[in-house]
Amino acid sequence: MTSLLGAGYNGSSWIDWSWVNDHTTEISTRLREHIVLALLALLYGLVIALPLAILASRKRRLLPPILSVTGVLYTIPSLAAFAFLLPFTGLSRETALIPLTAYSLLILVRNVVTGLDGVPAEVVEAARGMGYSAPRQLVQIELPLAVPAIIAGIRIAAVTLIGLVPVAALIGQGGLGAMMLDGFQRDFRTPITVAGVLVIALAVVTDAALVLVQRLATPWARRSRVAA
Amino acid sequence: MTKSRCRSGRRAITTVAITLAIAVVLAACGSSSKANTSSTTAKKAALNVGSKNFGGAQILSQAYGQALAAKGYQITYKDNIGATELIYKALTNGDIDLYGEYQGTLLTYLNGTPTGDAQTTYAALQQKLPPTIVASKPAPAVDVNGFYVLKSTADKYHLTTISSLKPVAPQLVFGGPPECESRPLCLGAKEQQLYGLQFKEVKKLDPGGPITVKALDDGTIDVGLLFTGSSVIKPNYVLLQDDKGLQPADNPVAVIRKSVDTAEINSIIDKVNAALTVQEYNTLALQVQDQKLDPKDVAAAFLRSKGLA
Amino acid sequence: MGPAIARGGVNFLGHVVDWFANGDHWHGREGVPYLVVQHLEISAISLLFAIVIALPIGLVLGHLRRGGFLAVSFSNIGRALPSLAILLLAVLAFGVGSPPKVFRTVGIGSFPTFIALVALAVPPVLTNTYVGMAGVDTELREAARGMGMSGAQVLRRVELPVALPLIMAGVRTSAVAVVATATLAAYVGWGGLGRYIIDGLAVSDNVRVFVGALLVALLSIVVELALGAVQRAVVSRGLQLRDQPAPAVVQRPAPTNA
Repeated sequence: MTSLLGAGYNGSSWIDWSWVNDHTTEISTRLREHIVLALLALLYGLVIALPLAILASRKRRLLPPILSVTGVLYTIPSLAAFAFLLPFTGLSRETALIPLTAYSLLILVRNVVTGLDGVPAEVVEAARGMGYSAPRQLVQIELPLAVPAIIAGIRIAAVTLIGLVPVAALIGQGGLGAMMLDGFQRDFRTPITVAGVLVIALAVVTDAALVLVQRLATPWARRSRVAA
Repeated sequence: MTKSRCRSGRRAITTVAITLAIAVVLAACGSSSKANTSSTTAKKAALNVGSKNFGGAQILSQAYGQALAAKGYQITYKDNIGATELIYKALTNGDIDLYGEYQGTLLTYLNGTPTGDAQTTYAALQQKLPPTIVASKPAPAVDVNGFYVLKSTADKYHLTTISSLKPVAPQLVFGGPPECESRPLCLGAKEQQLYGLQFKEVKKLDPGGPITVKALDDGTIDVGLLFTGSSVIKPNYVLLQDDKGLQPADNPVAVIRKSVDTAEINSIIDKVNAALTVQEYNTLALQVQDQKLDPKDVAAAFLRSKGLA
Repeated sequence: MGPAIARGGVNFLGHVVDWFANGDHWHGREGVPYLVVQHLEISAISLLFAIVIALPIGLVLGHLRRGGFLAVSFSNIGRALPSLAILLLAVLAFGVGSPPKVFRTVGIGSFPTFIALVALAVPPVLTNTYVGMAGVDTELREAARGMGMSGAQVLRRVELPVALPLIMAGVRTSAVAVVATATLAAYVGWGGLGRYIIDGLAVSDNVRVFVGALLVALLSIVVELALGAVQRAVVSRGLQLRDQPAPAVVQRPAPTNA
């Protein structure tokens, strides 16, 4: 029976490359799960954050409460956030997706507001003077100028989300985190190491890709102070 | 100036819009990752097979699932759901249709009284199960809670049975799964009744996995709860004899929702269980825990060697 | 259906209140006070260690304005640092507890947890210290030099005070991240407030899970606010960072990374 299986793998080496070779399908499945979860949370977060931020930057009174509430929520550890929802949404993808979206939202609102606030007053007035209606002004003048800050926010959100997804493995939804737990339960280091390295790699690649997007979108902003 | 602003503005928005569109497409593509259902001639039921959160149970669920898949059933796996408390609920909820369980543990969870005999335990289980759930006939293998100490500890305190543990327990630290204190077969009601162990400290570790093993090895705990059939038992561990018969006949059974159960499914599972002897189960478990092979592959090789897949 | 859900929700919250009202839950090794102290203890010690490691490096590099690219990349990677992976690997490598005696007496019950927390806490402190120091106005430095201060004196008397807001922000970020990740350590057999969440998950006790989540959230918020107050007290008035939406480096405290 063992001949059908092969010799097994070394549990205590940090990376057993033969395991990696044999498990490329599983690794790519987990990677894809991970990306999808982070991506969905990012998109949902953006969809909610944009109108919220536009509202906040228009009605200044709303800004401090929105920022304080989002600041406080941001502090809640992700395991706690998933755990809060568990009694209500069970061991489903929603239990992971809702808090992830919330974290993404919190980061994005702040950055979009910063971006919109950064539009010089003279530009807004010039636009008003030239007869731009409020929606046109928003879409054609303010948002484009806010793009560097928005993309900076997307960068932070994307990288943060990539780091948060593994924790959801504790409630059965974790992408690469599931690989970590599986390895751990068998006293097997390789899956954990591989998953950890991939999380970091994914974050670095995503960040670099977004920097590229930022450069493409706003070439004029290159020489001015670019968000680190 | 207006014109170049306009162009730059449009460029910015366009770039962002394209990026977002790509992102949405990626997300959609990634989400719809349903495996291509190869059109087989026989359209048999689609079943969700769940598994508990330790190696032995995962092998069971894989074995059942793959044996069924070999006969044309469409199987989706939901792995690593948790202990009985969680996975049984998933079964009754309909989140899963079938999973690999241990009859003594399940019977105790359902407030029944298992015995050391597989047949009587099975009969009792069938009585306790609700009408919507059925359990297959048990396999010969057993996987029960075992109280283990290091040989050095056994020598020091002259420990051979669990009863001999009682007088020294207050000096010792115990480690086991987080659910141990509420589990009658661990440190809960039934154990207290039979042995009445009171330890200096009870640490919540993991279900018979590496944390408990390492804790036992490095002395963080003196007594560890491991599974006799599927945990990694090192040569210098001593299993304390269950002299008062706390542990029941914990044979593997498949627990299925009656609504999806058929005679064919029963017969397939019975064949799998019949091949799961104590020795066989142990070998399979070690392949997963020690050799780090995947439960999926181990189960596949097992089924193939028995002509079941 | 709506009223049923609402009733179910109120029912559930009733159970949560009952849990808190139960005196047993406030005693002993599984009681709230014990776990809170345990949680704070390891968080504080890990943070201190991280500061001891990261601060000098950040100060020197920032003062010399060397290694900037590294420091800033560190910050971005730090945000995605898989603390779960580090925690799990540390346990597999070092076992679950029994750290060297010196650690035990200081209150570190779990060596792997400690390592993972320190690893997690270093990047924000390091990056922010670097950026804070490197970002000090050139004119300020030159004025100080012009006044005859040596390099070390410039560092201590000019750059450090100016960089302090950013450094404190980094410490705050680390602190909240550490408290959050300590929650995770309950999965690998440690204690702390995460215990309620992990044990509740194990026995499918939703009330306990919720209670754990609540307590952890409260603790994190308290730590964040407390350090905010410390920051305001320590940093001289003229240098206070006004509470603005976050630019890339001065991070708002991050939730648990994994």
